[in-house]
Amino acid sequence: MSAASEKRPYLLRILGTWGVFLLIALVLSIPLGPLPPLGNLLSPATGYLRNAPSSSKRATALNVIAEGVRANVSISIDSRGVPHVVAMNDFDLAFGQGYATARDRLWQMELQTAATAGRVSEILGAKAVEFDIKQRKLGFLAAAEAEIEFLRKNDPEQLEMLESYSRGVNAYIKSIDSSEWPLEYKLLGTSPEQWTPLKCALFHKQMIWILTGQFDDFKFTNALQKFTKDELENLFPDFYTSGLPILDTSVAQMSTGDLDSFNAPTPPLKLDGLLQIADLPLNKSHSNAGANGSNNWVVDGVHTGHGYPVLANDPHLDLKLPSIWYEIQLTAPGVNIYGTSLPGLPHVIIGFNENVSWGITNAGVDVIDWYALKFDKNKPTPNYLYGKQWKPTSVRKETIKIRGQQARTIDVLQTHFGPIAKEYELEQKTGGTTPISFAMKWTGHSPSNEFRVFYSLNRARSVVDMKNALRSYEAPGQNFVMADKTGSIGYVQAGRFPMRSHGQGRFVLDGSEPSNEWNGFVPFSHLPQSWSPDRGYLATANQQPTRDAPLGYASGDWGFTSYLRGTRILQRLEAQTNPNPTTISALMALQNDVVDLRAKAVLPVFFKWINGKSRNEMEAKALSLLADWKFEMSANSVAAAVWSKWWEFFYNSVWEKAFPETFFKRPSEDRTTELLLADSSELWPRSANIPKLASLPDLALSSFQRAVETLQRYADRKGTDDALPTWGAFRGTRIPHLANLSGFGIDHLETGGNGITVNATTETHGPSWRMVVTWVEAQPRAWGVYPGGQSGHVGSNFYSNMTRDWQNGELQELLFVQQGMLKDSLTLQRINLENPRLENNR
Amino acid sequence: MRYTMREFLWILISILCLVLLPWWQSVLISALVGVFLLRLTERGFKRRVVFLFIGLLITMITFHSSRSLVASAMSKLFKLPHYAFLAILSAGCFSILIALAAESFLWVKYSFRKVGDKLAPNQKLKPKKA
Repeated sequence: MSAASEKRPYLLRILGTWGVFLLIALVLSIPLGPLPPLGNLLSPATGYLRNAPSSSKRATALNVIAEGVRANVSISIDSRGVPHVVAMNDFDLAFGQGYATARDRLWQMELQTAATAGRVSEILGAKAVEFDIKQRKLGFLAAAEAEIEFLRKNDPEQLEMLESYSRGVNAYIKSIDSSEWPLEYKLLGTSPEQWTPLKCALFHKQMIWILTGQFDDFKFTNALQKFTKDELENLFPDFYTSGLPILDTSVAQMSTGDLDSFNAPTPPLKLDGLLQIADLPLNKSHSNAGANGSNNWVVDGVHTGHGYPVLANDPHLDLKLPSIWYEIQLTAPGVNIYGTSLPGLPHVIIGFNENVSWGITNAGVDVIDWYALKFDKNKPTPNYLYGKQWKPTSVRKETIKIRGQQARTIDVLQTHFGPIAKEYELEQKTGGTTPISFAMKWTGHSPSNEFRVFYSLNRARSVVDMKNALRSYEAPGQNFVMADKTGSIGYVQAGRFPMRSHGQGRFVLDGSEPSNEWNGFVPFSHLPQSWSPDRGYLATANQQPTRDAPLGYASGDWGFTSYLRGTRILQRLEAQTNPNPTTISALMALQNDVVDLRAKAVLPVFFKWINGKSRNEMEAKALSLLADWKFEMSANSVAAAVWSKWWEFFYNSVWEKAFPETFFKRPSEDRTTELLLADSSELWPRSANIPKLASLPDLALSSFQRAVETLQRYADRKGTDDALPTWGAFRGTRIPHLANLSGFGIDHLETGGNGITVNATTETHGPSWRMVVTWVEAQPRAWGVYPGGQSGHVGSNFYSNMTRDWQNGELQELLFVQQGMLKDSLTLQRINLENPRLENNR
Repeated sequence: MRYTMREFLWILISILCLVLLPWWQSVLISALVGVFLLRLTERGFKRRVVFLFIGLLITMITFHSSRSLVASAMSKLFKLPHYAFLAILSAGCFSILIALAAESFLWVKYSFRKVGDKLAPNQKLKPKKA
């Protein structure tokens, strides 16, 4: 055998071994489709296993050299994972808040602001480009930049606060290596970006959009092609005559003095075709008005057994993991505040200090209008008709970076109304489509300084202080209820609301008509408000503020949510506070009330309608359950499931033909209830495709049969065919991960309630934070819970640890440190942020 | 030191490196250490893969069970029924990779020797049949 032939097997082996080795190494090093490089991810030293910070193994004390902090800052983490930040001045306090928040929620902060800025393509690549373009066209980035400029000129102290907050976030980023980055970064193959004040402003804009970015102008404009204005008035009242508003005439204290005249609405724009709205980046959870909202109430010290006010608040938002809220206590000279903050913003948004407490619900006032524009196609730069002249648009070049691809630059056209946020294809009756452009006017585009408002609220010592702080509050419009230790309570619907006359702003407006411009804003004195009323309590649940529209007010196109939740709360508060004072536990229990007032009103009518109609065994069983039902949407109630589906099918079958959802808004469920309870052929609409009043009993029967059938099918699938499912099992609640990563969210929780019960838990929406605050022997005591946990790290024990209590309607006592730092015995970990330039730290 | 002991020492070092260092660093170090501790033998590779896999699997199962929250979330993300599958996947990937790296480095080392000395005594490659 020659030497050459003897060498060949070795050569093959060497090459083979190296080849396979390099191939496997390569496969582990590169992203495979949506998967990140598996080597990094699976590695126990740098991969997902590093994202399980175990509280027991964490250092109990950690000293961090923090560039940018003026004096030392101490952060003590308590047994619920809540940081208690103690600083020597306000700027360091913001620094500490930024550090603590980033420690738990860094990835969430970054994703939320990237989405608002239209930068998701940088993370997810080409599939997010369309989303980013829509976001850019909505003008959030430009609005955030304008807000920073506004602060630079008008409130440099707050801008410095944002810079301190940003330095705190960045100090945390600097303190960790890549193996400690949140798991989502590893999964997406990205890295943390430096935080800036602009990101704070972006997050502020995002919150304004979430809470005010709803509109039905296009759908109402479509409806003009099928209905007369009177028919629309009947089907879509601006202010309802049923239900209880936030303020009745005995407690409302706003000024009714004359306002400067505002424009009467011009005749609505009629378009030759239907506008589709489906592709706008709407927050879908807010499209169902009945499911959107929040509760807050406050009872003064005279009407509580222990002599101090009690304030309760549960803001309802999309439920996500990590939660939108982050509990924190902030202590510095002149401030000692506890509550929930928003990851990405300094200060506490809902909370209490030694002297005051406050809670918020969304106002629901229309602050968006759309203007249809006529363009001069003969001009090289786009000009639009306004009055009798052509006005030029300004062009903002926006560059969208795309991961793995070349960046793309788009033009965002800006008019004096706002950005051209949508260019539709108008579907014409004659066939074909015509392009049409719309500018969006939104109060959120204007710079405002809510940072200063919350800074002042955090330091308020009385209801009067809070009222004064709220005078400059602009967006998003909120119902603030408040209390102080002396027993005073108060309410104001704070915000910057355009003055409107009845019906103004409901439809798409003609952008060439100057009289369609907004004409000033409702002054603070005229905003709905009440201060320590004799009845001793105030409550809001996103319903209309007063029975009739306050001067300069109209709900416009979006409208307030169902009044039934607010009605139930006000009824219960009246019953609880008269003649005997109420208790803290009774007011806590009210947050879990699941009585459905619609069922209470409608079921007797339905029973009458279907009485004696033939039914099968399961239907008879369902009816018998409903007959014994106390209208409580409890998780363990079968009747609640039957009623819910029955009403849903009935409601849909009434309106689905006349109002297909792609093009039209449907009359609200409240208005539907009013119309059918009125049982009046005069009120009942007679338009084509709307069932006649006389046919409603048949619809009720067929809806009932469909409901039972649906529940039976569900039971069959689950293998419990002899029993209909409970409400909790059938509907349940899902809390998805912010980026919808399966396994990082909670798939099913058995929950009660619905969009119109006080416990307004729905499938993916509900009380995002429950808080009850009072004083006992002049010291604040508070309880709270939210679905999720303090940590945004899926491997943390604090990722979703509060969810079980939240589901069960239980509250956890909040640890408010009166003075100094949290005791060592109550501290899981103490983090000292040290200024390297201070003598003692060297 | 007996050869078996040297092999186990190498496995221990490899596991430690993997636990403490980024995966590519640990692979390189294991391979380099392997050059001094291991021999190129006919059945050595399979034996090392098996023992390395068992060692890594025990380590990974321990790590996963002590970090079950993140391990469960990841297994759901990858649509695996239990996080033990992730432990098997990790142990499998890294044991093959580390063993291959060591083998590759050993071949380099042995390639500097004369052909007849490339393999340990009595474990020479059999020439392929013509």
